[in-house]
Amino acid sequence: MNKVININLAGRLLPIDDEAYSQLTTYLNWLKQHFGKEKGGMEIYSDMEDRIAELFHDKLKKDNVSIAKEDVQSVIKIMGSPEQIVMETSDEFIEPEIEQLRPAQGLPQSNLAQPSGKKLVRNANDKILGGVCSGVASYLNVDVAVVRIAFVLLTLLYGSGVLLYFLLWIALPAYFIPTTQLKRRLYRDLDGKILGGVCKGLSAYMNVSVNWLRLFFAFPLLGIIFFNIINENELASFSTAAFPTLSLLYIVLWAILPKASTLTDKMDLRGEKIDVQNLSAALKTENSAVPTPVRNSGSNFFVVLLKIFAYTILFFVLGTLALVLIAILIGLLALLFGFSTLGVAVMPFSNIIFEHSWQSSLLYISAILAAVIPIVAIIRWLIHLIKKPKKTNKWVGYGLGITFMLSIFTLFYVGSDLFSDVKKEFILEERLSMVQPKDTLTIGQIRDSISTSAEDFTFVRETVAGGYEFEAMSVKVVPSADSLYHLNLIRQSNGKNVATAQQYATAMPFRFAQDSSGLSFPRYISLGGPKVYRGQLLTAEVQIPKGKVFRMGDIPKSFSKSWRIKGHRGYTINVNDHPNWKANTLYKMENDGSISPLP
Amino acid sequence: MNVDNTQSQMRKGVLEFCILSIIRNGEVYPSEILDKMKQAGLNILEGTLYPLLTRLKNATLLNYRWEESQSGPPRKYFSLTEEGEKFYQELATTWDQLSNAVNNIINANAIDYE
Repeated sequence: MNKVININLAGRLLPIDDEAYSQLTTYLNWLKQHFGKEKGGMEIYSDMEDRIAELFHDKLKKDNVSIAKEDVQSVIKIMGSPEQIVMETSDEFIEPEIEQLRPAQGLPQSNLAQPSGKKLVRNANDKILGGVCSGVASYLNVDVAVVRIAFVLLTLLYGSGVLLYFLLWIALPAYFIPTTQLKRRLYRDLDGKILGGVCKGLSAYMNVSVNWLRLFFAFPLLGIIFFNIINENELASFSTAAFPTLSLLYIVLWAILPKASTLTDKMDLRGEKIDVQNLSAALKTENSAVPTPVRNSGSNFFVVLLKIFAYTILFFVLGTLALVLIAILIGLLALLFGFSTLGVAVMPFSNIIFEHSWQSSLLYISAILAAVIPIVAIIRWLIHLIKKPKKTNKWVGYGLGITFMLSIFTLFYVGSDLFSDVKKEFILEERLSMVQPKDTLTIGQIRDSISTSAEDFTFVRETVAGGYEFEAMSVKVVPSADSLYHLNLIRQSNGKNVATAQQYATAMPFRFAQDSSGLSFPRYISLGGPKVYRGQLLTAEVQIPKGKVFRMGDIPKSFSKSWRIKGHRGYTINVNDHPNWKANTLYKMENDGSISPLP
Repeated sequence: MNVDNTQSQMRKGVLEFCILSIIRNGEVYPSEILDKMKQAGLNILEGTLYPLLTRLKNATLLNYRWEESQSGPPRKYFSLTEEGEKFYQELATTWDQLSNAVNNIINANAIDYE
């Protein structure tokens, strides 16, 4: 015997028996869910509810008893079973998407119909980038997530996944493959989940016990603890190595798998056929399953422990990631807002490199943009990958791209401008009068009040007055043509043109000290009038008669260095040590003109 | 090749045309459309009519108004809009050409066999 209840369906009062009622609710719920995805779906649903009520009403007028199971079956036969409705109305779901895509990508309409027969195509209906993965998935009849993961793994192999993807993207035509053709989808199952329901979903998909999968994902963590306790070093280190891989895999799966939210999704996951019998069976287990997870997690100590572990790890991983991102952001913000004041710290001598301050500002801005925009683009792309927003603003992408190109262009412009500033070279040699030494000639340095370690090669130093001085003093020793000592000063500089180079070369004030025992040169040279450094160098050429011994006194390393910047046919900078003088050492000018140190 | 699939494709093609021509003959409510189709010998799943009506209405080819009925809740009475009329005319031309062509082909085959 069956209980009869009264229900109100679309404004009509209907007596219906218990069994018929549960079948009817299943059917109506399915209709609501199915059409709910469509635009105007609720209207379709209420119209159909209306019609169903009308059919029952007619039935009752004839027989004058309550609605029974058979009546529900016959109404479903009239309206259509879920499978029939999916088949007969599937086109309606696909059409709006075709309308959207056609003007955007200019695809001919013929491409958007279903492919005839089984062909390898791209699926425009389910895509992250070009729909290659879901096309391959529907061809191989596996879940798209499996193919996506395979492509990611292939990418780890010298990036071959990316290459293959782009080749297929170019080679394969795009089709709309109806979603109904894709059987058995991989979802995350949120019923009785521990973290994201990844293991639960995988277990339903692969028909493996969920605990095995949980053990698989948790094994590195448990392994690290367990094998370290029992001192099994190799297995412990293996667990440690596996840990990041598996955590990453879990997080990736969490991000890319959709959650099985509706009953139909859950049946898709198990590869079950959607019809009324199955639906009501699924509904029953669903209803009876509701209290189980609560009982489960309350009593099962292992599950609670696993949950705590999992959340700790997740918190740790995400926390580290967030900290790194925040640090990068703070750094970038500091650069962006403080580049004028921080500029000195970032690139200390910009005002001796650039003639105008706008050049260095331009360089900072374009350098920062060229560095930041790729990062922003990557973050944007990752967010899109995970969240898949319905509308993406193309102009943001275009703006970023154009700004990036502009900043690269500016970098090249400022760079080439800088290079053209050292294109020409000017060298001037002048003879200075020199006191002949009484004994061994000693070459030393003029000490000044600013103490700098002789070993350092600092090249630039700031003066008290706020200018800059350079270690641009070089000492060269050559054999004298006669029996006397001579001193030549060689001034050299580069510049935009010869006139500027000459101006820079002659502007440097040069002072030296001499007495009967020797010569002393300054370690640091100031540029004189010009503010910018363009390869200026002073070389003291000391001519020593053959056979004479001379002494390098307390000289800095910089006296050994000289350089030339050549702007002809590309730029070369020659740095020479002539020879590498040692301080406080005696040298002898040999008869053949070579110089050798004396022990 | 699945015969069910092909049949459903054939039905889908003419269903909109049939619905529009029934509505064109005078305001009707959905069960009336179904009855008229049944009378004409075209049996369709009722579940497919409602999505089609809503779609045609959202495409502004159809209008509807509510009317009280003696037996139960009010009904939606559908009528053609101006756009719907134009749409119908185009479909009618296509249908004429198509049915003529198909008949010619079938009949030609029949003569060949004789």
